[in-house]
Amino acid sequence: MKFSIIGVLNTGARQGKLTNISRLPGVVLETPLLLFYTKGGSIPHITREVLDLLTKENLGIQITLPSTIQCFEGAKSFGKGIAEFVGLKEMLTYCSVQDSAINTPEGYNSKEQISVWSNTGRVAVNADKYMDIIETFQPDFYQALSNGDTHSDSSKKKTQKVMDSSDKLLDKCLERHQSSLALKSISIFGNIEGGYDVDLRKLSAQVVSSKPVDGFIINGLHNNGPDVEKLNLKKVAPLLEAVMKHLPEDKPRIIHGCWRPEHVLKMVDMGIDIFDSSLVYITTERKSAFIFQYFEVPVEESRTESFDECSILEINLEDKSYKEDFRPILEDCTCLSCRKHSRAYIHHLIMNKELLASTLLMLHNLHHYMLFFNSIRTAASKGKKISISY
Amino acid sequence: MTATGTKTPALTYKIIAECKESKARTSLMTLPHCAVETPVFMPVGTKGSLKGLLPDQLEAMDCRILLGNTYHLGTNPGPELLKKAGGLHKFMGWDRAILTDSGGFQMVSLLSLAEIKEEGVQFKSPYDDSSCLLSPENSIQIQNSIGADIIMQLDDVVSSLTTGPRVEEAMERTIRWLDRCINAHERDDDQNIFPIVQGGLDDDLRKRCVAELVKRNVRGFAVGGISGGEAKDDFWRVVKLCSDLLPKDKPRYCMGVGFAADLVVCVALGIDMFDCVFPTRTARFGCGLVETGQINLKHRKFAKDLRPVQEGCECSTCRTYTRAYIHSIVTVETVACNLLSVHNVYYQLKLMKDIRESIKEERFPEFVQLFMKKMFEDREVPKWIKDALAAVNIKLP
Repeated sequence: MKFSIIGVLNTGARQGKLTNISRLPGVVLETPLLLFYTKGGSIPHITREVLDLLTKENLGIQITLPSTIQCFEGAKSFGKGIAEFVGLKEMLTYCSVQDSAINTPEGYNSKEQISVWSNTGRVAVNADKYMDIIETFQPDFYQALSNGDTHSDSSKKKTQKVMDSSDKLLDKCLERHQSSLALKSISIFGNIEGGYDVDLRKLSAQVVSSKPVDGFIINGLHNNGPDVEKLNLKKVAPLLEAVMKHLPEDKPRIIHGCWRPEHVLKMVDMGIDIFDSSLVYITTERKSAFIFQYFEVPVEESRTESFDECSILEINLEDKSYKEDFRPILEDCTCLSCRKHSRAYIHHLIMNKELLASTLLMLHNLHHYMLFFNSIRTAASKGKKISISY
Repeated sequence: MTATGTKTPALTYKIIAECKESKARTSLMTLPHCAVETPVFMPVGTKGSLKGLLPDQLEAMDCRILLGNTYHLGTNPGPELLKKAGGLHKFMGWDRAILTDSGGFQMVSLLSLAEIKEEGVQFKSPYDDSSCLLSPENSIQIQNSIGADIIMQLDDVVSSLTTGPRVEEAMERTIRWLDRCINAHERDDDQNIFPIVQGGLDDDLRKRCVAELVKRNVRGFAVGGISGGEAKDDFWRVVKLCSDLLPKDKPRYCMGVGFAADLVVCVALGIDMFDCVFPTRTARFGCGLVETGQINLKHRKFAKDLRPVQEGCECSTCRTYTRAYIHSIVTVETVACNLLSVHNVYYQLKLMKDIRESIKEERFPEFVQLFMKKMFEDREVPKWIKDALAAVNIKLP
C-alpha cells in the first residue's frame, strides 16, 4: 500500500491518498479517511446487503482483534483473509489490537502478553500468536501488537513501562513481518506511546519512526470506549504536536477512538490522516441520531478555539417527544432511514426493542458521518476547511 | 373504478393453474396494495417490523404480503397514532400488502387472565391493573385504523386439545362474532374481512361452521384452531375437511402453519395462504432452514464449514457468507440474526415459489415426492404425511 500527500493546508491538515493496495488493484482511498468500525467483522447491525443500500463507494474497515479472535479458526480454514470471510472483500482492511468502541480494562498486560477481551472473556496474546492471526487475516494494513494501556492519569513509571513493552512488541512483530512471505505486500503500522508525557511522546516518535514501519498509530491516549468522547482535547493537543514534529511526512497517521466531530476536525488540522467510526456505533447504541450541521469556511477563519463546546450533535429518539413526530431524523438527509422512515417509527421500534431500530439509526449515523468526512476532503481540495455549526 | 362505474372489489382471486391429481392450485390474489401469487407464505412482522429486516430487503426477495399483529399494534403504537401516521403501511414504510390478525389469539395465549364473554375478551391490561375488553367491534376498529389489505374477524379461540361443549360454544360464538365484525367493518372498499372456521377436531362442528360462514358475503376464509399441539393426524384431516367444504373460487388461509413439510402438505390439500413466526423465531436462536429441516449454527461442527447455510440458495446471506462465519458471531452480533432471518424468510418464499411453478408446469406431485425425499433423507417419511398426500392422490414411495 502506498501513501502519498496531495496537499497540505495552512492549518496543517494533510490531503493524501492510499493506492497500490495489492489485494484491491485500482482502488484509491483519500485521506482524511474514515475506517468503518466493525464488531465480529461486521459493521454493527449492518449486513453486507444493507451496506450496499447505504453506499457503493470504496470503504475502509477496521477489524478489531477482541471481537474477531473467535473468527481465527474459521478464517484459517477459509484461507482467503478476514475481509472476504466477513463478506467485505472489496473494502480496504485494517486490523487493530483493541476495540475502539469498548473500554479496555486496565492493568491486564504483561511485558509480552497483551490482553484482549473477547465475548468469552480475556485472551492473552503474545507477538507470535498475534502475527499468526495477522497472517491468517491478511489485512491490507495492521497495527503492530502494542500495550497502549495508558491514559491521562497514568504515572510516568507506568507510561515508561508501557512504552518499553510496545517497543519490544514492535521489534518482534517486525521480525516476523519481514520474514513472512504471507505478509510481503501488507503494511505494518507502529505505535507511538508515551501517555500524557510530552518528553516520552517525543522519544517514542523518534524511536518508532526510525524503524521500518509503513505508518503510525498515536496510541495510549485512552482505554477506548465511550469515555473518549469526554476527553479534553486541550490535554491531548500538546502531545500530538510533539509527536507530529518527529514523524516523517510521507507516512499516514492513525488515531483510534470515538472522538467528538469537532475534535476530529482539530486533529485533522494537527496532521492525523485516519480515524475510525466507533462514535457512530456508540451514538447508535444510546439510541441517538446525528443532526450536527457543518459548512465550509476559509482556512484563515479562526473560530473561538474552545475544545469543549457543549453542543447538540444528536437527538435521542428514545425520548417520548418523538412519539408523534412524523418528520425524518433530519430534513433533506438522503439516507435510506430519512427517505423512508420517520422519527415516530424509529421511536416505536426503540420502545419495542425491535432490532430494526438499530439498523435504521446505524444507517443514518454512518451516512451522516461518512458525508462529514467526504466534506472534510472536498473542502480541503478547494483550500477550505470545515466548521461545525451549532 | 371499472368502465361500468362499479368499484373493483378489494380482493379478486383468479386461479391460474390447478394440480390434476391433488387439490393444489396456484392463483393471483389482487389486493389494494399488491397482487399476490398464491400459495403464499406471509412472514410475521409482529410490531410493525420484520425482525430487523428493512422493507427494501423484503422487496428484494419478492415478498408481497406481511402479517401484523393487532394485539401488539393496538397496544403500541395504538390506533390513534396509526391513524395519524396514515395507517400501518405508511408508518412502517411498506407499500405492499398486509394482513392483520384479530388480536384474539394473542389475548388468549399471552394473557393468563383473559376471560371470554359474549361481549368479547375481557383481560387485565399488562400495563396497569385495569380491566379491558376486546370486543369484535374493537378489534375491527383497530384493524380499520391499521389499514391492512386483509383483516380477520375476532374469533373465540380454544386450544385444539379442548374437548366437550366448550368447543361447540366457541364455534357458535365465532359465528355470532363474525356478524358483529362485519357490521362494525367500515372499510369494506379497501379492506377484506376473512371469517375463521372453528370447531376443534370435530368434523360435525367444522361442517356446521363452514355452512354458516359461506352464507356471509366475504372474499376469503381462514381455518383456525389448529396447529396448536394436536396430533398431526387430526391436523391434516381438519385442514382437508375445511378445504373440501370451502368455496373453490375464494382463497383459503391456514393460520399459524409454517414448517416446510406442513406447507407442502397443506398446499396439496388446497390451502392458499400461510403465516408463522417460525422462520424468524428460529433465526433468533441461531438456526438456519435447509432442505433437510434446520441446522443450529451455534454447533461447533460448523466452525470450519465453508458452505453457505443452504447450498444452491440464492439469498443475499448464502451468496456472501459461510456457515463458519455465521457460527463465529451467532447469538453475539445482531448481524448474525439478521443474516439468518433473511435466509429463513427467503427459504420460505422460495419454497412457495417453487410450489407455484410446479403447479403451473403440471409437476406438483413430482415436486412433492422430491421435496419429501430430501426432507426425510435419513429417516422414514412420517405416516401422517403419507396418509394426507395419499388422500389427495399423491403417492410417496
